[in-house]
Amino acid sequence: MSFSGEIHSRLDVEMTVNGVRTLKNIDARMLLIDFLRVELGLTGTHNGCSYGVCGACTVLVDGEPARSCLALAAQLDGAMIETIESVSHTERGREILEAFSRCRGLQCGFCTPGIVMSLVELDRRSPSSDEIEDMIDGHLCRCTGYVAIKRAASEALGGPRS
Amino acid sequence: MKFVRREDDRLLTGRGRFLDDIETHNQVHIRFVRSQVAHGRIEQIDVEQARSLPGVVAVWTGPEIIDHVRPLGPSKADGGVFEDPLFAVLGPDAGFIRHAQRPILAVGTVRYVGEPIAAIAACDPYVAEDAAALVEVFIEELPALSDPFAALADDAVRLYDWPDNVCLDLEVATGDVEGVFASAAHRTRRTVHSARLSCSPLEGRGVIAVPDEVGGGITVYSSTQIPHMVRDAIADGLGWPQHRLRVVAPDVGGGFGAKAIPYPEELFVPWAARTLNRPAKWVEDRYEHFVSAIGSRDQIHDIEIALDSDGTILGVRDHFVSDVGAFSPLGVVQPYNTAAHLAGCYRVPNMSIRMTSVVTNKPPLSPYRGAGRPEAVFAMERIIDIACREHGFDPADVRLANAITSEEIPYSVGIPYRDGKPIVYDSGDFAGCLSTALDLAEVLPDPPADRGRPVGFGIACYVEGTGIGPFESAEIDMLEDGTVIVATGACSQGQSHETVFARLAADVLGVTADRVIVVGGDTSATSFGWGTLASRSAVNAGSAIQRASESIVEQVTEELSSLWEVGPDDIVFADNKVSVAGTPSVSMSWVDVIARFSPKAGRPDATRNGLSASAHFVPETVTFANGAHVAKVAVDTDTGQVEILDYVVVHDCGPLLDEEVVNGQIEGGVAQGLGAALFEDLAFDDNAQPLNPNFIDYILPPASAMPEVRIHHVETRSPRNPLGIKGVGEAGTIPVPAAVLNAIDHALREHRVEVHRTPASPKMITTLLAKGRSS
Repeated sequence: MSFSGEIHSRLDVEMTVNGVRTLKNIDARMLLIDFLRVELGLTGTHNGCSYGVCGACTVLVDGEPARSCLALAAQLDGAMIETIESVSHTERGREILEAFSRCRGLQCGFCTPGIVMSLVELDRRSPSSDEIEDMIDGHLCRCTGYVAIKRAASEALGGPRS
Repeated sequence: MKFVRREDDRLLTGRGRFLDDIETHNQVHIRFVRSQVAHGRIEQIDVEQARSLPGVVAVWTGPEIIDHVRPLGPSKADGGVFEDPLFAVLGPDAGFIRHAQRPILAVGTVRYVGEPIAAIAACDPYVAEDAAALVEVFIEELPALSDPFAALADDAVRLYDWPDNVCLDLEVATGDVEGVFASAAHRTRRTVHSARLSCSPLEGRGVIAVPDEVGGGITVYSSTQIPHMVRDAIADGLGWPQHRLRVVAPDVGGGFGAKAIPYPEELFVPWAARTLNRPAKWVEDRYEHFVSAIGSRDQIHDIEIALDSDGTILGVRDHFVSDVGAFSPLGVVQPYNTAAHLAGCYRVPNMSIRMTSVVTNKPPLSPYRGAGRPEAVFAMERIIDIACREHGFDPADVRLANAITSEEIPYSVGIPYRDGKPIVYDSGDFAGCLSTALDLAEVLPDPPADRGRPVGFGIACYVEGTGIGPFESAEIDMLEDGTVIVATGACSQGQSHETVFARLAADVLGVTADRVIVVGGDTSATSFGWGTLASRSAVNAGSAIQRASESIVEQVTEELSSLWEVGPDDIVFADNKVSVAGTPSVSMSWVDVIARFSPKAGRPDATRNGLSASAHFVPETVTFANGAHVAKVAVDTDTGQVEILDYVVVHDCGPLLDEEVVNGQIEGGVAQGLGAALFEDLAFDDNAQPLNPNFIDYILPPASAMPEVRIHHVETRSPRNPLGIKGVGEAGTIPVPAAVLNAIDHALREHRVEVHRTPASPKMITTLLAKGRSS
């Protein structure tokens, strides 16, 4: 994809994405989600609404959950990005993914990457059960009715630690 | 990593292949210019500025493509194929149906906000969106209709060249309704309204068409529930031969009915790709989903029930109006489903139902999960509750006394189903399910308050005709390395087909499920297929897969019983091999079995290339699932907030193929039902402008609103398919609005409040409480 709209300036952006340093010359108006999906081919991050409500596009930016549909890639020069593609690289990540599968925390799997990324972040700071509930409340799922997601999150994080 | 579903490995590691994840070399991006006016005449479309924008490849308007892409007529999808048989059974006096043709890009007239008017092809999606904004459309506005009753007025503007705005008017009846209503001890009549909803799968629609210059054909990827019907619609609409078209549903991020009809975009994108000789891609955005994917429900009932002095249901009469928007691609399906399920779990010997569908300037309407049944259950279970309160009966007692018992099965309802066959409940114990649900929920007539909030119980029962035909297909092919390929026309949008169907075939063949690969939703894998909708795939695809697997077993049995000189009953399929019963030393691996059928075996008398089987399943008619839900709610009378304190589901879908998958379908269904009960209302102003076409103002049920769902399974076998099963995809959704609103009324019993319309929003509840009477 060229993103060749001529009225828009292009600029160089450097990010570390899933541990890999990446330098790209991009359209200034390119959203982070398109940078990840189109420029880098990391299509595990999904676009469900484009305005930050559904949470499917959630990635970690410098360790914090962020809606990649609401950020311009150009704002994030120098940032460290983590996406769903990186989760299975760590033992804890694999445990979280296995908990989702075991608890049937996904059906169609479209919303799942965003929820997993929020969970990966929560896992790094011993959340209370309320925090886990609040986190899931920030994501829309249309298949599971959330029951199995709550179970998966609670199992993955070793039960509530409040 | 250990994953329990076959789908999970790729979906959990970001390697799923949803529509928008497919990128092709040199593709153009399509953007539709959609009407911002609900009703009007197109005077002029100025595309020059858009055309001259760098990066724009082409711009088209309706008149330029009308000779190449035929308008879409009514769909055969779902029960559309049964329309003619149904009308034949009901007879010429029962009523009429009218179908409008739906242009791919509007020509002359626009009939809803969101209707496609022009299309851009550009080198990237940002430029395509820029260009769409540069298209200037001049429309002379006509009066717009956003209310079905206004649309029925004599002087209402007409949407089509019809005498009025009615596209369906149909009556179905059994028994002597006038007679029982004239003499009944008690009668209760109300108007109840199921609001318009958006299906809102988290992945919207999308289409990619890739010309294949080697084969001369075109491959179309679509986020659809019905790839074979999309293939047929493209072939019909574009005049292309089927052999040049392959339609594939990749990983699909939810459907729920929104992806169960062929759409204009699914015809336009392949046409654009062929015209430009480049791959073309269109991905629906969320606004487009709200205004151009189908909406659903939007049904208003004028329903009356007649009870005997002891609470026996004598009869029901109902006239309901469906606001179908500008087009109704599945015309009779949703309203007739409502009619067919109105009696539900109860004996209703006398019943007359009139259904009137009215066109307005809202977006098109088509079935959404439940498909007419939530509307039916809402009307019936509300009127039962209201009648009980009005005449001093206990709603649980009345339901138990009128519910059909297992001794009465098979039970004939007295009207036809929408496939034209008589409705005969084939299995189940409706009264037993209800009784179990009442016990589990510990229903009380006068429950104590919860932290100052009044508490109520609400009950709703349902039947669901599942597994409708006309058929589903399965093909099994055994590869030389022992891999079993199972292809079926049913495709998955999260229903775990790859896991469950693999296990079905594996169990028959005596192999471990990891040797079985399931392919769904690819027209090149099965020539025939119907699709995943209407709670039909487990019943129909499952039965077809079972049959195809049995055919493999029969072929191998014939071959090896002759080789080993043993009877066919002595051949055993287990432990990934075929052997002789009682003589385990005589056995053969599947690789060797398959080699005997291979053309490489050099047998001139062999009649087939390898070991394969093809089967389909044609159900005689639907099979009925049933169940009962009980909601326990607390209502904050200051804020109108409703909390679900407990939710019990008793459900009978026959033997469970996979209990966790069934539970997931029910839990997800309950959440969608809860959305309809408390939150969702796709609203339009008097000019048919959508008021909340986004996830901020159209409120989907959040995790915090969803209770634990206590599920109890009852398993009575269906006699109508070899697996003995009944469908489950929609059931969880069906009774929820009725159960929750019944519970709200019960909680507010001291205030004498009746909620007649979904959703029971805080504002509606506080308004009713302030008025101290019904809505």
